[in-house]
Amino acid sequence: MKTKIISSIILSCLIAVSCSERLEEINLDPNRLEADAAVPGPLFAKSVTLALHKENFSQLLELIADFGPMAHYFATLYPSAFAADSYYDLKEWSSFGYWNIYWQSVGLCNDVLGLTEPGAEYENSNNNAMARVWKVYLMHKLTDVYGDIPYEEGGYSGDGLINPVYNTQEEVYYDLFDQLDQALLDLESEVPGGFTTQDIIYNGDIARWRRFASSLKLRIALRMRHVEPGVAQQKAEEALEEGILSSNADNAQEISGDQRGNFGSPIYQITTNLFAYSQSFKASEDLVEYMKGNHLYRDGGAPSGEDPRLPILIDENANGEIVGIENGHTAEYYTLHPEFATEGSWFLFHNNQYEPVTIMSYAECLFLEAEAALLGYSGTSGTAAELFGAGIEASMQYLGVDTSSYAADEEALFNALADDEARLERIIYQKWIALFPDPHEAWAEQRRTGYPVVVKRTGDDFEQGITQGTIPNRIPYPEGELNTNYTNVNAARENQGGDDMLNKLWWDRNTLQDSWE
Amino acid sequence: MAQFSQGVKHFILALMVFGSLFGGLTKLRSQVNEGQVRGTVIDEIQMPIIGASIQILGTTQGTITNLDGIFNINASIGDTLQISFIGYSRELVILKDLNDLNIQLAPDAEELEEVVITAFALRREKKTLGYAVQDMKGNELTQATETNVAFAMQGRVSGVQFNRTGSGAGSSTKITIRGVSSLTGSSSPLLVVDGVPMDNSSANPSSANAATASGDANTYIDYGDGLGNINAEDIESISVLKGPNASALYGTRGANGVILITTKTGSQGKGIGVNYSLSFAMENPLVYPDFQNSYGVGTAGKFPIADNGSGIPSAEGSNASSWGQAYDGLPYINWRGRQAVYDSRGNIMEEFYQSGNTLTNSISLNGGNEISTLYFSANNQRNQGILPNSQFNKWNFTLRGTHQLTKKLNVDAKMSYIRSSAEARPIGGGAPFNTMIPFLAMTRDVELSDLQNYKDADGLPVIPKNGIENPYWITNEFKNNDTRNRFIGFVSVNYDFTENLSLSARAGVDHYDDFRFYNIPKNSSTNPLGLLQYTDFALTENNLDALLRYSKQLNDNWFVSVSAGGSMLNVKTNTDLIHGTQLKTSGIENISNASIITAATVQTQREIESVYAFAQIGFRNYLFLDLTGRNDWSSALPEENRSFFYPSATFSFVLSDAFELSRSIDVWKLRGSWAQAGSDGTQLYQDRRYLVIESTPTPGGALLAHFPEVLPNLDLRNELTASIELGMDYYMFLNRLGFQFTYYNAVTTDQIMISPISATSGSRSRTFNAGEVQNQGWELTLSGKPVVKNEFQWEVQINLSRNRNSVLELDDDVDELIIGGLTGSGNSVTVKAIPGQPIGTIHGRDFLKDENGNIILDNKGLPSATSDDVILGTAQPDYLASLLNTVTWKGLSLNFLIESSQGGEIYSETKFRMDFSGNSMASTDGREFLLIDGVNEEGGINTQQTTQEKYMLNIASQNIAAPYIEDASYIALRELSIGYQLPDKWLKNSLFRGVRISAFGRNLGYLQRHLTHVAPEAAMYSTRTTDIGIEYLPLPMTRNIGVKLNVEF
Repeated sequence: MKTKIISSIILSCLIAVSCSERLEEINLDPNRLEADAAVPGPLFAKSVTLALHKENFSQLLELIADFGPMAHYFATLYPSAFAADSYYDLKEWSSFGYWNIYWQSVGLCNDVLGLTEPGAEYENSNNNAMARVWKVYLMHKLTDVYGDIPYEEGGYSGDGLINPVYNTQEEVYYDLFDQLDQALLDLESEVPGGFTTQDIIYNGDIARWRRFASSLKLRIALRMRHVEPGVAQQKAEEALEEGILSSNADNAQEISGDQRGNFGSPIYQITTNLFAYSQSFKASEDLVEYMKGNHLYRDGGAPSGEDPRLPILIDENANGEIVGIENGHTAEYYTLHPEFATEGSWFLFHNNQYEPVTIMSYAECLFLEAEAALLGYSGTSGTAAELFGAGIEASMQYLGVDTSSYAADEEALFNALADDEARLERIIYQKWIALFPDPHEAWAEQRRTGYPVVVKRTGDDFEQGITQGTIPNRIPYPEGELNTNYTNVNAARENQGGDDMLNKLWWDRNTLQDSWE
Repeated sequence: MAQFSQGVKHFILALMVFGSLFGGLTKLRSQVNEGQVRGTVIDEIQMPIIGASIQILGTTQGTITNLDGIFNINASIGDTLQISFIGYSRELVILKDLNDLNIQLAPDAEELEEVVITAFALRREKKTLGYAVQDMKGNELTQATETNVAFAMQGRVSGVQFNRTGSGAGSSTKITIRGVSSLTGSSSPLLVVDGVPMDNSSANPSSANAATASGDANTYIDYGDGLGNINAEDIESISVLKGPNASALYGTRGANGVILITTKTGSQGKGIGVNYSLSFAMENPLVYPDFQNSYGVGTAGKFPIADNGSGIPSAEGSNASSWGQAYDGLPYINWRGRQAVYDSRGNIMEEFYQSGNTLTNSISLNGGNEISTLYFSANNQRNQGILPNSQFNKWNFTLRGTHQLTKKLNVDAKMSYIRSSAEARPIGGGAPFNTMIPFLAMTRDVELSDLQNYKDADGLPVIPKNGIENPYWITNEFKNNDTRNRFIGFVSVNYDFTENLSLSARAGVDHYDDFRFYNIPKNSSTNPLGLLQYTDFALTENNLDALLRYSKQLNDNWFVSVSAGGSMLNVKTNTDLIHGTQLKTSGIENISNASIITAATVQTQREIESVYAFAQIGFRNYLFLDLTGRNDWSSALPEENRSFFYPSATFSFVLSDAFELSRSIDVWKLRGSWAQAGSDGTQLYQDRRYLVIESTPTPGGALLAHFPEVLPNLDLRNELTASIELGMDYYMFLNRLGFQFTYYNAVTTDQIMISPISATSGSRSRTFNAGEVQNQGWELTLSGKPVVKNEFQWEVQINLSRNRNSVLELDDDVDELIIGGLTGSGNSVTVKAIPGQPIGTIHGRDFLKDENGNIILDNKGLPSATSDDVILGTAQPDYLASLLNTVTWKGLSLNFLIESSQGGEIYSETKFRMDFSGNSMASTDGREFLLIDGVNEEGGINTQQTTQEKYMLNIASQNIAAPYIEDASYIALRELSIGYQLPDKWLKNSLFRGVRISAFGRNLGYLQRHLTHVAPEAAMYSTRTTDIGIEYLPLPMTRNIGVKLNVEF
């Protein structure tokens, strides 16, 4: 009897303690919010900062290490450690950080789109359109690096979609126009309650968002002009009519300010936090020599002289000289030339904590417009030569360089050219300088137009990598994607004739450059 | 006096009576001259012995003594009564009449081994157990003083693998019992001290790659584990329960086995017993990397600068490796611009690392009377590490008392306070503040004297090579220190309602607070802006449990014991972190010196509530069946899956008691068991989607929020390990020869794992239940006493075990799981779990070979890499073995322990770095001409020569990992000690009751070792289960040699 009483006391005590509600409460993470508390603003701001700054320094390094050398802004002194400059197989480790971050950013964009769509809790057409434009920006960068991407189904893990199916680059490009057109319909200054502080690009300026959307449309249209010239012209002309960025004040870039935490300029981050790595990268000789005026265009012409932006962009070495390093040498070659490490120049511009990252600039828009003028598109605001000169001037203004005679001299030389291809060559070279340090765009334009000219590497002093010395046309899908989404990514590989770094993208159809290599 | 101490004795022995010990009851025999015999069994100090077993030899009749040590048995004149009790010598009494008996038993150290501590701190006779338990006595572990009890356990238990992290004193040990069972979680056993679980987690270095780029040293510092906080001198015994079969009652945390530590209590006796011990040990690196001392700075056998203008070669400011010309004894300009003689510098690492030492002082007092006992101990351990300025200091204070409040009510309480502090803990792994990194990277002609002036006039570091730190900058400028204050205590009460029924309840608490600081100084070569970080980590674990026990002899044949109880476990952690970057000025180690300050606070809580019941059925004292059942409710699982149940059944059949066997057989027992153990995994908050609000300052003051990269699982379930175990124990010739064999097969299913998913989904990985991992194997322990002659005795114990681990399946759409590895440092290896393979296959690029296995060499005579990763090895050893020898002669004793692990591979990052930089002995071959065995691209024999430098740089640039995979097997002379117990007669008129002096050595050397540069058993950089198969630049493991004095007053 006694036993029974005691055991029932103990058991009832225990059962009382095992109250499920108590355990449920303990199982709530005190450090985070439940998902249904999500509001769109912080997710949107995160999506933007994530793509611009990556998550930590190593991924930021990958951005610079992968695409910077391909754009011939940087040259690596330790080729074995940095795949891009050696034309190695980039899928192993190098590009996954970039890939992962962009898709995470896309996922956040999708969350914002869902939260702000008509009928949703935070319905707001402006906010929805901003996310739409931002997603276009992310997606075109992704497809320009890899080709086919899971455009429609990517970034929806919150809905349980974990094996996204791929779309062709052609499908992606056509839909990007649709998205931008939808955004241009939705972006209305009259709609209240748009993002302000949470919009770290334009602080809620809807008119500028419209200009940014049109400018992206122009960029994307020209990118595909060799494969769909008609569509390209139509979309480019629509964009010009709508109105693209019209001054440096319109530049799509992060809000400036000194409360930046870890969101400093990428080059500054490399210099400070990745000092060991910054010693492994130097300014590319191609960039330095072009800006010094020591360059011959394909027709034998040369720049008008030294570019006054050079001392603003690139630092002097200990001897007071600005010296670039040739891209792509072997490890052995560099060990035989240890002086490169001390003689090579590093970067001045953006080597400043507070320098905001530029997403798209007025200068780039002028060069895009100059190309449109060259092609005879309607709606351009001047001749190709005028727009070319204005582009240089806009870039110099942005860098705070006295708009000396350089822009005018260049414009005059340009004006004297009869050959359209030679004119395009000047436009893209100058755009290359203006785009610094955005390696994605510079490398994409290099592939589309062939400028700056990158010669095939031969000889024992150069690493030739798996492309045998040819600059890659795309990057293989990361190993992680092959491990986790094999069926879908493999279909995309087969669709593109394999995962070869030399396979050209859908828009990369300018055959002219093939003969230069 | 006797009256009082009787009560205390009751308390101590009650557990045995109610928990397990029983004997057959008397059966009346109809015989003339028969009748009831009453007897009292007492011990050496006249205390009654409760639960002593009385048996009439040649029959199955028997009984046990009651709480007053009294028994009644029906016997006949001429019968032989065998009176036995664990820990005492058997006594045989031939009945001459039926008068009352008074039997005194003498203690027997030998017999003590028959008692083991099992779940709930119940003492049980070994023969009643249906599973393998191995135990060690405290004094075995303290013969050679170690800084962590776990180090001392190595090699003493079969089937248990110990790996150190190679971070010196105060570091953690990874303990794996019967193989790795979890794919992504923990396979560490549960640590239980005096029945109360203790947190044994170590603040682990995070994955190898995470911290490399950010220079965050914190993640590479091993702050030690729970076992390291225990004072070895307090330990009475350690039992290792090796799997779910033995530990089913420990619930979710016992599935990987349990280490049960029983600490000392006071003993009643004459006056106060005082024990004092003093030990001093020196430590020196045992294994240094195999450096070459023939070539210095340069490339292709030449100086970086052949002529500095005045006719001498120069290496000033060079970033080259040790691929220069052979030493010629002539002058040259070295890296610092100083003219030096180009010659061998010897092993400068040997001069850099100092000789370390550990001084241990330990005192304990114990005493007691009939109703109370008290035990007090104080222990101080001071360690000076081999890394300059590295110190570890630990204080332990323990107070334990027992008290008999009434005849039926006992109280036992213990309180320990532990304080440990460390300065400059060595950093392993890839963090630039690991002192191994500069030594592996800088050229061999660098002189220590040039490094010692590590700062230039502007206070900037002077570095011998880009991308590394000067080792003296690390030891003088880089700071890390930490302090831990830990309180552990429990109170337990036991109430005996009747002879058959008792209730015990226990409340235990384990709380510690770690304060950690580190400072990367401004201007560091790898992190010029510097950073500093304060971390306050606190953990509180509360355990409450109650157990009601009832045991009864049902009839002559059957004995039943039933218990039921419940427990609650609650663990809370709190981490406060202040992180400052971009230091304003150098030399100020204060958070105000940081330009960007971020703070974070992280709290976690977990609770598990459980009810359980267990029963034991005994038949005639030779057949035993145990049944257990437990239900847990875990807070870490979603509501609908919160509750999970798991049972176990074990049997034990003592053939030697059941049948008349040859007299030479002492014990012959068969045992078997089947058990399940559930687990709620190791991660918290995985079952719903959360939003993370970020605290970092942002451009324009925007607020940032994101969803975690890991996709939650809304339907998370518990993991389950099911295990069967069969075994046999066999002892013969009065325990002169013993043999224990166990076979086991354990399968863990429904593992909670996190596996990568396509990044294109927007998340990186997801949490799910899947997978099936099997561990099967056997353990064999042979023990014997080959020589027992007069006062000479030689004891041998051999432990041998084999575990075969296999991943049976992963999830349907998961082909492989990457569980660890190294990437990005110029070489790349991954450690994976793949179905059909053991957990921990090492993958990387191999040499490209033709179909006959010949390496294909290109027109430069150099190899290429395979296009994909291939399996290069497995991290799991095949066999573990150890050999313990104890030789005693009069007061002299000699112990030695040889320990071995055979099979399995490890990737050696040290070898890679040594070869790459031309610093290894292996790099001295073929510097001028190297012809690699293989075929050319056309299939002919390779005739194209290359050089060692080109070959090794080629391997690095091609990412070929194969040459750095080495056999992890070793045979180590783990311990050797010689002790002398001074004869009692010498001490007769002195203050002392006993004096023992000993000399010992630990980690003395290897009889076999394949890993070239590093000690294979101390190669890991963390104690996480999944960090296997990778050697990642640990500090050299040390050889410790010392002396110890024990004095008893």
